[in-house]
Amino acid sequence: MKKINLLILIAVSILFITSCEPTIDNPIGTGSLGSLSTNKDSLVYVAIGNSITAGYMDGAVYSEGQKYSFPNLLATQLGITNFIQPGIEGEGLGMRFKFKGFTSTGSPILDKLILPEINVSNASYPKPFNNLGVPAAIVYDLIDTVEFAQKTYALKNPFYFAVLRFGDKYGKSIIDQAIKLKPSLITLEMGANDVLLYATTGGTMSTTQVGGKYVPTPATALLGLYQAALTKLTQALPNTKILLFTVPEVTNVPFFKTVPWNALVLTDTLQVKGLNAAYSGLFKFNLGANGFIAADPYSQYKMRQLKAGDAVLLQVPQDSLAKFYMGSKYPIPKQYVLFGDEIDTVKKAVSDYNEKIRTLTSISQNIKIFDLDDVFVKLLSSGYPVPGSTTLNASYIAGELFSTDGIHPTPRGYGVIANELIKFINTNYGSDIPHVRLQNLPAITVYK
Amino acid sequence: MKILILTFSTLIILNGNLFAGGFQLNDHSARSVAMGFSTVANISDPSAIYYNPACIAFDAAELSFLLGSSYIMPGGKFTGITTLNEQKTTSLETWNFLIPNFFGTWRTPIEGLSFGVGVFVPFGLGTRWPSDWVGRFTAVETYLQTVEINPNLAYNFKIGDIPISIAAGFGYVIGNVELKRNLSTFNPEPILQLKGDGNGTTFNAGLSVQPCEMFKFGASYRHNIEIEFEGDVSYDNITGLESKFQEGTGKTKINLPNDFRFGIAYQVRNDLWVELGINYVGWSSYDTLAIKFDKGPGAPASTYESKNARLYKDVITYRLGAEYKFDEYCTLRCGGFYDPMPVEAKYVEPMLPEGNRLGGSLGFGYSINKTLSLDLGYMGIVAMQTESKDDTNLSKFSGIYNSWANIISLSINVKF
Repeated sequence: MKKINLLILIAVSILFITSCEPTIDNPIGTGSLGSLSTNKDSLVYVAIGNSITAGYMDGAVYSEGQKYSFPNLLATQLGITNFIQPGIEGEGLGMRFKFKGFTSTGSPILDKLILPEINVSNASYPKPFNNLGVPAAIVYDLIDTVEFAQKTYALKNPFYFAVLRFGDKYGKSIIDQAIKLKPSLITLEMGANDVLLYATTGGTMSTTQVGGKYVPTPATALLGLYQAALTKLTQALPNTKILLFTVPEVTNVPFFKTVPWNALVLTDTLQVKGLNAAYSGLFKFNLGANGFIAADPYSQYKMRQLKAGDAVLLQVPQDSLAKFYMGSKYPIPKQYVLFGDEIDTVKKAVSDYNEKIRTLTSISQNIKIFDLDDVFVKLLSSGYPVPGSTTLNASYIAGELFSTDGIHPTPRGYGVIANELIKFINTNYGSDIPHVRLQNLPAITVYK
Repeated sequence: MKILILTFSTLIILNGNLFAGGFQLNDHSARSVAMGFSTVANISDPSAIYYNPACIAFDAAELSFLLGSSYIMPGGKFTGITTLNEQKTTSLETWNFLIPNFFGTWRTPIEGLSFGVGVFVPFGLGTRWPSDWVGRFTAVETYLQTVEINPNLAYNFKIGDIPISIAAGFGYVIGNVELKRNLSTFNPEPILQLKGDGNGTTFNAGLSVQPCEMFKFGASYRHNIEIEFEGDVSYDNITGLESKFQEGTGKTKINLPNDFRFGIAYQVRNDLWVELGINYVGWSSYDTLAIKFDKGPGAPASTYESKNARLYKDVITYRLGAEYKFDEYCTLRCGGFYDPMPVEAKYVEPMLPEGNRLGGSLGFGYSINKTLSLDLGYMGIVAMQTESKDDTNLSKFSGIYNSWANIISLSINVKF
């Protein structure tokens, strides 16, 4: 009997299954660089751009957010270990929103921090930064050589001085600083602010004025500036691979889509009568949802009633809308409203820019067009499915793509841009760079 | 009996719970485990109540009890295979399960009539992935356990010289379900947890025919069990988000499959029986996993129904077992089975890593005296690698599943 026991024990211990290992037929994301570079060490990457490149989110650039800038995510996936970004510490630089959760009625609670000017912790880094993303920069800034500190004060934009340092040593313009680093790969993402300044201020500011009215930067001007910048860049760096981004059309981001144009809900016939009388029939009010009244400096009565297709901007003082008759007894100031015809102006400008940008490949065969606009169009129309999770979409906060400022992506949203860029690089340079795991990037951080 | 059921469910809750084809459990006696679950035609202990209750009428003892437990040690891995789910392997956390069982039979004073009752765990499932793994928005912890109390009556008679027995039984089943997963939008990630219970009834029937000394035939049917689970939905990590994630109730209905078994036992020589069994399991009943929330997660003002297609289908499992009488005390056993997965590979998901399973087993029985005997069984199960992929669905959580299990089972049989 003991023998049998022993035999069985031995048989069981032989049989006991400890683990089964996966067999993978087609490994993907092996990290091979293809024609991008012969080895990782000789791969130097510089990112040129605006806030999107800087990793701006929640209204500011801050170190936790910078970690998820698309250039930093790309550099990590490429295996680059010394991709240097400006060390912006503390709460950041800009107008920082901190999401604290929701009120009992489900409205987001945002703490707005007005941040002091701060020093950059690695300002003494002895080279230009690899991430040359300057929030609010326009195409003109690529080749502009006005001294950075002077420019920061003139334009009230601390980022020129924080990102671009020591003009005498490292180069007087963004392009000069990029050249100084002798990169083998450049991403060039610019032009969004040439139209966004117009769009986000309800047409009350812009780069350009025509006949006393603000308009987006004209496409021909943008083309000329880009030609000058790219000519300089490709002459100095004849072998550098340049990924030139199209300009995303952003009037479908939450900033323009969250506050309804007709949220003036009237439940009382007295209110309806009062408003109809006050505007003497000029505008019509009914029980239920009505279009807000907004300022319109170019019309006869200096105001108009909103209709479908008009946008109320996210930064409108919502308390005033709800409690202080803004949009009913008093018009919403123009800087918070973008009319349908102005949205068309924005769309036209972006489409004209992109048409011109696509012609820039004639400057050098090393320039390839990465269609960021197309990425945004697809994201905003059909969303972006994440395996095992939800489909990211354009709705404010819940959609996970856009941060609390309503324009700039969340870390997960920047991950989508990085992945689309990686897909583009792999297709064009025969590389096999692994994608970013979107599941492991945060979307909306809740602060205590 | 209620006390008994409660005791059983407490035991299972404390120890967790487990898997087999789909999430049916067959591990209700050490003898059956040792013989690859092939026991349908030739069973002489009270575990027949589960495998084929007609056999209890042939038990020579007047009173017989079988008390046992199976210890199930499952393991599993997931490896991403698409660009968005790149190749990294995650292992299931170790979660072993002690599944108790109890059976008793009584030959009544009425000629040919026997009564038996069993308490066992017909279905169970438990998977726990690391809380930070890539699939945490689909499943972190999934747990299902059921306990069935199943009284049976069996009656044996003869047609000509052929002994025949028929049996029928009733089943009352209680179940517990627990689901836990992360929600993706916020950082830190809220954790959704659903805990519910429910009950259901079922019936079963058995037939045993023993046309000659060398052959035994058996057939057994267990009806499906519909359980409507109802329970509480709660959240963790929701500081600041309380107005969006409100505690409420959740409901889900699970229709556990019916099961038809057929077995032929053949006496090769005086001391050796072999048995071939086939088992048809109606897994097509597991078509959708729909959970109704009275307050939608993230949108508590309205109800919400999360619907996941499971699309299981009926399967046939093949089993083979042998029992060799070594001497008057000791019996040696071995067996094996092939259990095809009851779902197309592309629908496999992390709550239940599936694969076509191969099982091999061995064990022995030892009679201490006429009253008391012991059985010990071991079974090893390996699931062949399953590649779950759907190129038409980008949000599909594509990957490779590897899974396996070791089972050790012990039974104590007392006969009077």
